[in-house]
Amino acid sequence: MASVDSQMRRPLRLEGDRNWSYLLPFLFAIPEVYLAWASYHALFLSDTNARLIAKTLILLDHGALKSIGFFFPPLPLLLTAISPTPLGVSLLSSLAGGVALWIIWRYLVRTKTPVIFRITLIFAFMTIIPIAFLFTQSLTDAIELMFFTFAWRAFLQFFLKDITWSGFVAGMLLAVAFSFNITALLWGILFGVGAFGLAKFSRRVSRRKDPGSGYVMAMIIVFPVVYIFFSWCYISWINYGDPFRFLHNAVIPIFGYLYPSGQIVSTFKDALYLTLEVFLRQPLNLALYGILLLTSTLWVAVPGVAITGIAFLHSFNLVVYSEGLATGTFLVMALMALAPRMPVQREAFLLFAALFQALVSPFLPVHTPEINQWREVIFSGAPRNEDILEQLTADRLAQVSSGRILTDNRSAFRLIARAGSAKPFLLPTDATYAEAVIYPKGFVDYVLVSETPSPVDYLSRLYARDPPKSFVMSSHWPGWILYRRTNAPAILPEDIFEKP
Amino acid sequence: MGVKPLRLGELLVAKGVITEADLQRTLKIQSHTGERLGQILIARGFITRQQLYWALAELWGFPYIDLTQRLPDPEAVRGFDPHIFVESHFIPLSISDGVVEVAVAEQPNEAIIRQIRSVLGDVKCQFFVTSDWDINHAILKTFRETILDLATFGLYYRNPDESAYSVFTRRQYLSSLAFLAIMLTAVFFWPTPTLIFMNLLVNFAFLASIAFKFTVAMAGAKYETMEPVTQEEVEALEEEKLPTYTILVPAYHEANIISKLMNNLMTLDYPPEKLEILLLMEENDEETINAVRVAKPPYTFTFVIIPDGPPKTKPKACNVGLFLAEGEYLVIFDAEDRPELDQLKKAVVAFRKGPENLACVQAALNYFNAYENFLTKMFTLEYSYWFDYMLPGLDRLHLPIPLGGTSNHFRTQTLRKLGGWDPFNVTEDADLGIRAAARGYTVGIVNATTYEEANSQLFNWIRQRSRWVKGYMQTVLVHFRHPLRLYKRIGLRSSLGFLFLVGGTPLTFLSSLLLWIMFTFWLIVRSKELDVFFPPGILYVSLIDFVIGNGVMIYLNMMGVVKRHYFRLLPYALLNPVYWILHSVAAYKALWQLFVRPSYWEKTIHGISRFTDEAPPSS
Repeated sequence: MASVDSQMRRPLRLEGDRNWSYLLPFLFAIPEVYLAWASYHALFLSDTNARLIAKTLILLDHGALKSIGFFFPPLPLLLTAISPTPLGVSLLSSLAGGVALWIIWRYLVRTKTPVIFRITLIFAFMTIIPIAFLFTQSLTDAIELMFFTFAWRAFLQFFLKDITWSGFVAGMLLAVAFSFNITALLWGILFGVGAFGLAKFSRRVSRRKDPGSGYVMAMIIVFPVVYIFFSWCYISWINYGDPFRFLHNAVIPIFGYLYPSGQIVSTFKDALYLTLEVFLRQPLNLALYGILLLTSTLWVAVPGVAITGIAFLHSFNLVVYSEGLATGTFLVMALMALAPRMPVQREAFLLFAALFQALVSPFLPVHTPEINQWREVIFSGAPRNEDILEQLTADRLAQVSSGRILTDNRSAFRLIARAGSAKPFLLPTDATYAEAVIYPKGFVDYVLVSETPSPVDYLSRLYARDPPKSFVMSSHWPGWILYRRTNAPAILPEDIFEKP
Repeated sequence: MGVKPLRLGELLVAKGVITEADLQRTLKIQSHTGERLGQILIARGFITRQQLYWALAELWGFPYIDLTQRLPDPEAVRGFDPHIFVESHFIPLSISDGVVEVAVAEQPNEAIIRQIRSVLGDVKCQFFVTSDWDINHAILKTFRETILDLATFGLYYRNPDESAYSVFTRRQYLSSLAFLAIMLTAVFFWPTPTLIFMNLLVNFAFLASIAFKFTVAMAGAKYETMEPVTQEEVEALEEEKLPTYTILVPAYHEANIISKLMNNLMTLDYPPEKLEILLLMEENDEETINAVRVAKPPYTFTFVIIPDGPPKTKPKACNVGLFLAEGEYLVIFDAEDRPELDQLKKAVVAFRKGPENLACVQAALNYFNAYENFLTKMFTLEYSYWFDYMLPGLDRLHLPIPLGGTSNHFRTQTLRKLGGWDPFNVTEDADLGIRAAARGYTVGIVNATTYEEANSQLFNWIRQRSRWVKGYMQTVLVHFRHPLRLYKRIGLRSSLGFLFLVGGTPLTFLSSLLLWIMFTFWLIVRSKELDVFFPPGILYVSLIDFVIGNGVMIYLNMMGVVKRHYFRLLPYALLNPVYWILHSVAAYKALWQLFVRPSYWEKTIHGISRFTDEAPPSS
């Protein structure tokens, strides 16, 4: 026992200690796990998860595991290393989703709202398509949202209730989140600016009227994530001589222009419209912010900051902020700010909005094509032809001897991820890659090039039109060309793949 | 019908020593505090101690004797435990023909006679009245060597394993030599693997230490808003039921701050008649002794002249103070300390609320000259983080708490049972905290602060810090003489906590300088020579130590500004790596001294701040 009895001036816990409550994340993850399982059986694999799997396989199979911590973001790679398969990564995303929902649940318990109300809100949240996609198909974003949920709540506790611990927790969670997703840096800065601007609402300041409180509160939030950012700059500098190389080299492209699909908006105005559209699309979101607006004018600032922040992330091809993450961020901000003991009318209104959301969620429009494709696959329960073809190709490629296929993983990441092994491929991480690109015959039997290559995929650009010397086109299917050495056998079935 | 004998107050009024109004005021105070009339009269400055005992001599019908003029005959006190004289306020002066002359500061009673006869046989007692000060003076003079011996070697006699008298035991010495020999041999024959292994050890120890500090500080931060003692509880205290409190103030070469010290102690919110303030001054420190005489402290202050003898350390002086202490509770304040006024009352509440085995409560320490210069700013950040977050964290996690240098409040009897302070350990406070834990006692914290003077001069700072680091080294060596025994006594968690905190601190300071030198060398030369010592696993840990470790420690130091609103200090947290280099320098000095002058007390000079008259920054 503590030596001196202690008295609490204010409660610190969100709810009472109940061990079983720690099982709730798994309970909340069940629907997401089901979706992950369904996605897997429908052969759906998102680009984000494919990039993680491919990179992890490359590091594992090419003897570069020791350098896993030097790729940004490092923590998703480490997690993926547990099970570098489409299902494994999806399940991890689901668990992150379960934890995020659990945090929301814990807060709602504290608001003393009825159980049915809480369950409905959580259920409505889960049915939102971009969020469901996030929790099954985007490990980095799912974990980012999980940390954001926790950090946002801690941030509110910090400056509204003057709990120092919460401020430090918020700062550190954002720092950890940075190692999953670069956007945590911008949230850290926004939180810091928010803390500075909203410091007058802090009990600490109102009680003591201390000058400098705002900047101290801002520093507590901002320091860890900025520190981590500069640490990465340092690591990047000692490894490559360029402090920002890690941003360009990131496993999940950070900058919009690195996305070959070209779905990134390029002006602030477009980004703002897009973000507003995401904000206004979900009925539950509108209802929550409506309630917040009635509760306190302080919360008017919240969507404003969020919209501007997310628009900023979208704009100028700067940093990619996914639709699922944007939708989740808006909802989490509002949900975690609901006042305890709401009037019954407001509860009823929100309950209605949540039920309505759950009903219409499957039919609401979605901006991101990949999410739309996923929705179609989940609802139909049948794989798409392109996924079947991609899986078949990957399976055949996986049977080739070690290091005999020359390709660039920045374009071929999906095939590598589906192949389940990076061994057959000779990749940019390999020492002989540069020579092999110039003189493939001396190194490999096959050359795989993309017709829509990543901007940094030099190999595909070099051989997109003509085969390398002593190679002939072996197969051609949408987006890809496979060359083989003249004396090497064809590896893809001719009845499916187009012959040259 | 006989004449009703006068009572003390009436006698003093009759003799014109006090007025009737003084007496009435004193009686009123007595009704609140329950303290003896004479004690109140002295404490409130109505009479001198000598006037009181003259009056008592007249009342009791015995002659008065001045023991500064006549010391006891050694024959008369032989065979007595001197502590009996402290407790019972008497001392035999001479013995001749079956008659013992006895000086008393209490009304002679059967108990005193019984105690005398238990040693001297069936003798007749002839009493003289003297003051309690005179009794203490006589005890210190007569039992000079005994008290010196007890204060110096008391703990060692009780249990040599608990004393830092020998820094290394034979076994520790041999095992250290063996380890060194093995490492040197290994370096000679297998240099690369051995250096990789050492690198691994250092880096993992670093990581563990950072992780530990992070965990503890966050635990402390989580409970930042909890108050071990509330203001309501302090206000609810009944003065009558307040215990006597002994305040030990070791003062060595502190002549320049004596008057400030007196002001600080006299303003404490505690009935002065229940205070026993012992000013502990070294026999040869005439400067301080004279300064105290000139300052004419009130009669609640007692001068205790510490017999000269090695080691000349604060804990030795405190042990002498403990020998004389009569309070139920006891606290140490340094001469420059400015305790918050209600600190003693808060400690009383803490003890009353705490468990039976609560041996000590530690108040927070902080600095009144925080903004003086770079060093004081860094020191304030460090102390704020340490006392406001680390110690509460240790308390919350039920880990042993190394006590701070001052403002540690004890149950006096428990402190005696623990053997007092180790005079050979230069962080006797930290050692005592761990010893208390090892003996099944707990140490708690109390939400009161004592403001001290932060070291504002570099070399003075290094002197002080090297002593602290050396003391931590001594403490680890002492308590890990029998690791298994320690583990059995305090458990694995506490043993590890102690090791990470008290052992990890010197280790990290010692190794960080080496690592910084290696890093700087690499940064400048960009040589690949060092790469071989950093295989991937170690490279990761090393990078985490360097990047995350520094960041975490800077961040934790930022905590320091929050609770006390030292907002202007926040940017200085970023300069901690520079401050830690100073720690490393001090650590190497400490390591050197551990071998050549283990018990040497590097005196910190106080009273050099320009801010000594200013209020603490938070007030």
